[in-house]
Order: sequence, then structure tokens, then C-alpha cells
Amino acid sequence: MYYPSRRSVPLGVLPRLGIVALFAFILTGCGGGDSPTPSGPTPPPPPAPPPPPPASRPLGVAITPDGAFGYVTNNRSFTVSVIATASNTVVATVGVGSAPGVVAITPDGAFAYVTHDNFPGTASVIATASNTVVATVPVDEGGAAGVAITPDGAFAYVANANNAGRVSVIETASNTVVATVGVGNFPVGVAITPDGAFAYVPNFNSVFSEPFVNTVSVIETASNTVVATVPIGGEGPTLWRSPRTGRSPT
Amino acid sequence: MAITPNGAFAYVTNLLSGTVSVIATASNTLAATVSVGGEGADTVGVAITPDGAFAYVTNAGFGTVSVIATASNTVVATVPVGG
Repeated sequence: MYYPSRRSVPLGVLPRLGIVALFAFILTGCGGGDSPTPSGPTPPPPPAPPPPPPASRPLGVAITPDGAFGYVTNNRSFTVSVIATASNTVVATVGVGSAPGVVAITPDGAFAYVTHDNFPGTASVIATASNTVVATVPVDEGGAAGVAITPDGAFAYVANANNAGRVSVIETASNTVVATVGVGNFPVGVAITPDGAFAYVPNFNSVFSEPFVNTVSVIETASNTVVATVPIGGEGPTLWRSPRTGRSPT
Repeated sequence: MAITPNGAFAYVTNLLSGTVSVIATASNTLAATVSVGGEGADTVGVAITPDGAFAYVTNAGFGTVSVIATASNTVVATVPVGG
């Protein structure tokens, strides 16, 4: 018998076969289901997509003075989860609005102050007895990042992580801003000394200003003025990452 | 960062490595490193219970809160949060 070799196939046949195959594909492939299984190696499956980011993105956490509850800010789901520490289960979810950042609880445990990384900046006040928002305080032009409450519970200090570099002082009795203190650029956190005399504010200067020196501003709480500015060097304080910019001052 | 009520230890979250470093404040040396999920966990916040028994750590990358027993520096619970 005669078995034609590939070489013996007249030139021009293969292109015609290709055209026939193309029409066959158009006629059958587009109908779906009837197209012949393609020959040749099967292409590898596409790589699995990365897992979606969690809907919640928890950032801040604070625990009530009696140790019974933990308050967790969920930056992406715009809520605060309340965890019962005895069972380590979520017992309440409080809607607080756009992009909650961090949280601090008053010494008497009655209120949780939640900062928002939004524009303009706000702080939400949650009554822990009812787990409802009882006040929303405008604090600055935006990017509220850190919050700390004086040991006597009278004031909440909110660091506004923006170029203006200001700390808002909220009187907790009235939930109004009673002072605004200029510090360094992009203050990312705040801590208050146990005697309540000073607030320490780290400023993540290196991205936004020259010279690239990170500092800590020391605010005297009695006068709400900066009494010292301490250069700390490095690339930025490791306190917080802006959920808005994704920047990692680590 | 958070410091235990007795002042003995500081708990520091390491954002990129998903770990918590425990620093002994008396010697300012590293006492322990607790993994709360490793890379991708995006550990951000930490708070310690008033009795000093537990540290609560937020994992922004996982949508969870890890509970560390400070006596053993091990994770004893992981709480999904959000909603």
C-alpha cells in the first residue's frame, strides 16, 4: 500500500485544510458543546487568583477597663466589633461610618472614641452600655489616625494624619473640639503619660516634608502647646499604616 | 505597641511579618516572638487586658483578632471580626 509521507502532500493542501478547519470551528465552535476536542497539549490552567482581601480589615483594638470587652475597628466594613473576652466571640457590631481607624476607651469604660481615616476627619463616640453611636465629632481636615484619652477621662486627643499636622483635643463632656495643636507633618498616633500631663505624638515626616526627620511632639496638656520636639530618625514610627494610602511606616 | 499593666513586657506588632515581638522592659531584650499568622496577616493593633493575661492583636490582612496568652505567649483564640 501507499502511505504518503507528509512531504508528499502537495503544497497548498494544508492551507486549504486550515481554512476548512476554520469554517468548521466557526460553524460548530460558536454553537458550543459540539466542537471537537482540540488536539495537542492542554494549556495549563490560569493561576488561581489571590484570595480576596477580608471585608473587615481590623486595625485598632482597645479593651474596656474591666477587661470584659474588646472593641475592634473594622476599617473596610465601617463597623466596630465588640468581643466578649470571656468567650472570645463577637457580641455586637456597631456601624460607625467611613473608614474607622483606631479606638480608645474612657477610663470609666462608658465610651469608646473611634477615629475615622476620612475627609473631613471625624471621631465617633460609642456608648458602651448600648453599643450605639451617640456623637460624631468633626476633628480636622482629615485622616484622623491616633486617639488617646487623658487618665481623668476629660479629654480625647486625636492625631490627624495629614499634611496640616494637627492634634484635636475633644472635651468628652461636650464632645466638642476645645483646642487644636499644631505638631509635625502626618502625626500617626498619640499616647498620654499616666499622670496626664503630656501627650506624645509621633510625626511621620519622612514622606511629606523636608528635611526627612521623624519627630515626636510633646504637648503639655494643661496649656495644649508643644513644649518639645524630639527627632527620632528612621523611616517612620511603627504605629499605624494608613488604610487609605496603604503606606507602611514600618 | 502595648505594655502589660505590671510594666514588665511590651508587645509590638510587626506589620510585614505577621508577628508580635515581646520585649522584656527590664533588660530591653526580645523575650519572645509570637506568630499570629505570618506574612499577610498585617498585624496592626494590640491591646492588653487589665489583668495582663491576654493580648488582643488585629490582623488586618486576615480579618481576624488573635488572642495571645501572655503567660505562654501562644495564640489561644482567633476571632473573626467584621460584618
